Parts: sequence; C-alpha cells; structure tokens
Amino acid sequence: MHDDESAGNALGALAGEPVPMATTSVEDVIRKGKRRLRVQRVATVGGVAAVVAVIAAGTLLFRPDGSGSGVPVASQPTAPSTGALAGYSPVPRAPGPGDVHTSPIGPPPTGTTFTTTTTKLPVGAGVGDRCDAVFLTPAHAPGLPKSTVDQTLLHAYYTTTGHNPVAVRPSGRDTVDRTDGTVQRVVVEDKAGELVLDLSVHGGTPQEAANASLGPAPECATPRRKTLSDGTVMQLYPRGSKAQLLQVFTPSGRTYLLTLIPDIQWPLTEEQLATVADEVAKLG
Amino acid sequence: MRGAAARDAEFADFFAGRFDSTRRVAHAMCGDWSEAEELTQNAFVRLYAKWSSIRMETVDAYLRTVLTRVFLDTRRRGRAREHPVAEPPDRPTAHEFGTEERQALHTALLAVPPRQRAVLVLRFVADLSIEETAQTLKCSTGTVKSQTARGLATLRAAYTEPPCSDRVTATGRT
Repeated sequence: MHDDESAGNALGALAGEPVPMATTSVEDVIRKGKRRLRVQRVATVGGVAAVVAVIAAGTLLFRPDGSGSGVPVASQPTAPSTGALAGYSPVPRAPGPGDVHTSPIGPPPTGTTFTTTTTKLPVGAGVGDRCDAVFLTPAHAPGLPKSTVDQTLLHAYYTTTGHNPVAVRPSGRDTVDRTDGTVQRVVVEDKAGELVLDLSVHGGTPQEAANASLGPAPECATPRRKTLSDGTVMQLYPRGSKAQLLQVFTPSGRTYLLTLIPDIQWPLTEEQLATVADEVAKLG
Repeated sequence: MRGAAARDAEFADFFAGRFDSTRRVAHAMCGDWSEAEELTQNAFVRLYAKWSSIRMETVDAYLRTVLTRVFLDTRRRGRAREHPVAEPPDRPTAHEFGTEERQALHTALLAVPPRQRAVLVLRFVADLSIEETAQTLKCSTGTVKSQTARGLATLRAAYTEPPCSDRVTATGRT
C-alpha cells in the first residue's frame, strides 16, 4: 500500500469479503419498523401535549389586560382521589379553543426563543381525536445531562418492574425525526412494549402549564391529576388503543412526558407508570 | 395506495436483496460483524418506517444515507465499541485478498476518524462516485475529496503489512 490508488484498491477488496450468517430476520425488522411508526405517531401526540401546555400557559400568564391569573380550571391538589390511583383526581374540562393562541407568545421561561407550527393530533393515542394543537419548539432545548435522565428512567423502570428492559435508547434525533433533536428523549424497550420519556420546557407555574395542556377541543380526553407538595403536577391520561400518557410539570420549568406504548401487551400497569413518574419527578 | 401486506412483501424482497451487502458496508465502517448487523438492522427499521413514502429509484441512496447516519451517530454518542480483534472470526479465506491482509486493513481502517472512514467506505467499498458520496453525506464534493485524501493518508500510515501469508491455509490460520 504505497500510494492512494493502491490503498483505494485494497479497500475495494473488502467489497468481496465473505459475510457471516445473519441472525436478523425480515420479520424482526418489520415488527420493529411498525413499532417505530407507532412511536413516531405517538410522539406527535406527546409533543403536542407538552407544547400546548407551554403556549397556553404563556398566553394565560401574559394577557395584555393583565388578567393572567384567570386560569379556567379548578384547583385540586389536595382533593381525595376519585380515580383508581392514589393521589390522582379527575380534572375538569379543558379550556375552550379561544384560550389558546399561537403568537405572540409571552416571555419564554428560561430565556429561550421558540418557533411554532400547528398540527392535528392523530386518532387513538389516548388524547382524543381531531384536537387542533400547536407545537412550540424551544430553539435551544435546555435539559438535564442525558446520562442523568437515562439512568433515572432506567432505575425507575427497573425498581418498578423488577426486571431488566431489553434496551435503552438515549435521546431524540435518531429516535424521533420530528423532534429535530430539540426534545430530549429516552426509550426503554421491553418485550411487551416501550416506555418513552420526553423532556421539554414549559412556561408559568406547573399548574398553569398543566391546565393549559388540557387541549382546546371539547372532545379531547381529560386526565386525572396529582399535585406534589413542591408544586409538581402530574397528569395521567386514560389508556387509548395505542398509548397512555403521563405528564409531569415541575416548578423548575421542565415538562416530562412519559408515553407507554404496548406491543404484545402493556409493558407497565397504570400504577407502575405512576411510580416511574414519581421517580422521574425527582429530577426536578 | 399499496396495502400493508403488499408493502411488507415488497420490503421483504428488498431486504433479501440488500441486507448482506449493506452489512458488508457497515462492517467496513465499524470493524465488528455483530455491530455491523445491529447498524444494518437499525437502518432497515428506519427504512421500513419510511417505506410508504420512498421512491424505488432512490431507495438505495436513502438506505446508504441512513446507514451512514446511524454509524456516525453511534460514534458521536461515544458508544463506539471499536476494538481490533486479536483473532479474525472463522470464515472462508478469500482467494485474492487473504484473511490476514483483510484483518490488517480493517485494523488500519479503525484508525481513521469515523467521518473520514465513512467517506472511504462509501467511495471504495460501496464504490460510489464523489458526487454520490457527497449526496449520501449531505456535504460538498470538495469535502469528500479532502476527507478522502486525509482518510487515505491515515489509512496508509496505520496499515502494517502482515507477515508472509504462507501461514494461511485453505481452512484459516495454522
């Protein structure tokens, strides 16, 4: 290999290299491909749910007439649970369509600039059908170190279920094309399905962000809610045919979205999902 | 609009025809057959997710782009598992390029930085033109040329001629 030409020719010989027997079947690939499609569809819902929270919270907080505190939902942090999970109680209907606007958006929560796009929620993901919503994408997504998020989610998953997941895939860009890498994402894959954690930011208080996330359309599903002593708000949506969502809004301005995606069966029970959310909330 | 069964059958045909050649390219990039299979599988999973919207005339280029991105992403995230193996895996001996030469070449290739390595593999293993390589990597032809030159220089510096190949037999090492 004395010159570039001979080096190139030598590399060309690798093209004829014998290939060992593959262990991957096309059935495996198609199954994973279908799962990836489901994750992408659900990501749209998840992104919308988190983003609507930010926009509406900003809108409600920074109304021109200064009536920013008039959030049109009831408070219920300490109310006894009427749902199946301890600490979670039903949330009244969401704000009407006129309560959510796309621009201008109030001052960003962490000195971040935003871009907006409008989309429709897909059907059957647990949030309802035909819910017009707005994406709000932080130009510089603030977040925790990926490893911290990865380890926390994995630890929470492991301690909750008592068994090892098949795989943990950190972060967004290669997992969900739509996010453009601006939403930090971790996927825990189990034999039964997947648990996806998205991290984004919200404006206003956790309760305002949670209220704003309820969705503008009347047919949107309403979640159950639990509020922790530090002000963290958790919202659990009912199971849809393809996913179940649990949002965690923290006082530091972070929104965690946990999305449970079944494959053969639901990988976690509702109680286990809530326990994972409790652990994730400790990230602050 | 294609039905799901027809779409899957079409994808399965494409998979059968391309999986091994894609795995070979992946192996040239990462130097490890098990990781090459993982990279290739990930690339095909992504391809499946886009299958409905991909035109057949561009599907090979799309697959190459996805594979290269998957490879470079793993390197960027520092999850690389590059470690030259002491012994090559059991496989038939090539007639024109012996096992030891191939192994030495793979070892040298791992010394080339990932992006330059991707350029070299696309140019010389996948046999793409400069323009096709630039398209795959979403960069200019000038960048491909400069990365090729640097990559080959590193490869040549890292390549160590194996000792006399008379120790290689038809069944492998003696």
